[in-house]
Amino acid sequence: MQMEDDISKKDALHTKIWQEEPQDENPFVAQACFCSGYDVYEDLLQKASWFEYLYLLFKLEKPQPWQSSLLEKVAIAVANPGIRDHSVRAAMNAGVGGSTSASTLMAALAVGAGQLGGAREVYSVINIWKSCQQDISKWNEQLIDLDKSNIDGWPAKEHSPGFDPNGVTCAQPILTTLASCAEHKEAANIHWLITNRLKLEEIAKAPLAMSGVVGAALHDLGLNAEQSEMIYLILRLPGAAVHALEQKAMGWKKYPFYLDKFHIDQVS
Amino acid sequence: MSTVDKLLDAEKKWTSSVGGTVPGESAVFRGYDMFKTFGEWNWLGMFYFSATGRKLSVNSEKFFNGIYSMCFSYPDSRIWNNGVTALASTVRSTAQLGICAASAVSEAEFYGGPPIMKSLDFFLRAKSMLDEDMTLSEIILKERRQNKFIFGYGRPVVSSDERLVPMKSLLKKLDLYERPYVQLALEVNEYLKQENKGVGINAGGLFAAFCADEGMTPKELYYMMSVCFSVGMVACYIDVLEKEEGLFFPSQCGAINYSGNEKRTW
Repeated sequence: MQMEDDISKKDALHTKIWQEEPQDENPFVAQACFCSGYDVYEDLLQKASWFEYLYLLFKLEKPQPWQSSLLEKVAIAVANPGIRDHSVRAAMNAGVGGSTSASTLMAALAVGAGQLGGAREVYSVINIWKSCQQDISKWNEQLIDLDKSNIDGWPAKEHSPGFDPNGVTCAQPILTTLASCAEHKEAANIHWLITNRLKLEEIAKAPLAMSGVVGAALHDLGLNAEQSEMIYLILRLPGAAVHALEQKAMGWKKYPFYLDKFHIDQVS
Repeated sequence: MSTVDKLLDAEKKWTSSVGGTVPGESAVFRGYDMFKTFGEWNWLGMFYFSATGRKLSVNSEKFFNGIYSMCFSYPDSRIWNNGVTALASTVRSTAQLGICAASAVSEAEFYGGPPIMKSLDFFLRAKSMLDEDMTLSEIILKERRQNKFIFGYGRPVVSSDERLVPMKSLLKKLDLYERPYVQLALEVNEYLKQENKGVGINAGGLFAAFCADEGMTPKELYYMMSVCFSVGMVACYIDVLEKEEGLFFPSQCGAINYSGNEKRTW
């Protein structure tokens, strides 16, 4: 669409994703919206599934059936990380005190962003895939190469990304997710992960984690590290939301405060 | 201890080394009785104590207060992080949500805490390289090869930095100007000025040098910057709230400059 004459170029919003056509009577209201060329309300709304649309938003192309199906499997697997998960507990902390809904999800995002089972771990997993591909000797180097020299807000990595440092053997839900993702023959990295899981677990000295499965699946979908980090943050929010709402309704008296388990080390 | 034993042990208790409260009785912070110790402390000094476990000198605390007040509190809603607060306000979200989100947004690649951490890291490394007899020119060349930029120098949007003069003046007034890292930062600035590329020291770089003189680590500086922009954000929120909803830089459909795929059917 051509820009209006009175809007200077430097104040324009540049995008390859989204296009709008204004109402005749109000230039601030869209008459039609297009995502990567598809009419969102006149076409996609009738024909596309949520996961086809989600894929389109990130990749700007219509997915193959296996791609939207794989994305949906990942979404179901991580939609509720469970009531004990750190990000869900953060959301419940917000809920139980009567915090705002947005702060509840912000709490889940902040904690779910982390490097232990969180989105930054998926980011790291994708970067390992990018540099190692399906070369086990490279994985051998990368999985134990924990860079401690970062000068930013992220604390240093303490375990091999994609593997659970607190696990003993690979959990059944993770194995089942892996097998379910492998129903798609096109998911080559998932298949390679199944073949090499035990070797990789030996290198990492820890069992495969959900972040490792998700990383392989999202790499199969051609999502880069930042896209994968974002998708993982988005997809894990439903569980955080419902558990927070449930705890809010039950009230703080039924929620752990760890009153007798907290000890202060007198250092002074 | 096995992995499972470690988790079972951790489930039973948490031992805090920074303190906490005995509800209804007392509160302890890094070993000090909070009610007996901190009543007359400056809040920013307390923040520094929380982040580092150390106490600031009187003049350093004054400088922290000064720079946080005059340089990190701009009530300008165009600045990207402040703009988040303004947008929250214009859609009538809460101030807390807007300020917290904007504070989180301040952890950015080229403004906010991380570049200043990297600047502090540069000064610490540069000083030890100088001590090993490398020249400033060699150090700058090496840094550019490794990181492309010299963090703490240059600025997005505009190249000049209006905060430098008042910062230098405050450093001088508080006898904090003639310290090794501030002087090193200014020497690097002089070197870069001679290159005539329009890259000079910015307020973050000078602040990082001050922090290096304080003996702070990059992580300690990062902690100190976690809420440092919130003062300006509150003002931005109020400014936008006082106008009608939806009027903070509304954007019309024609403002979209689309360069993606042509129209097509699913």
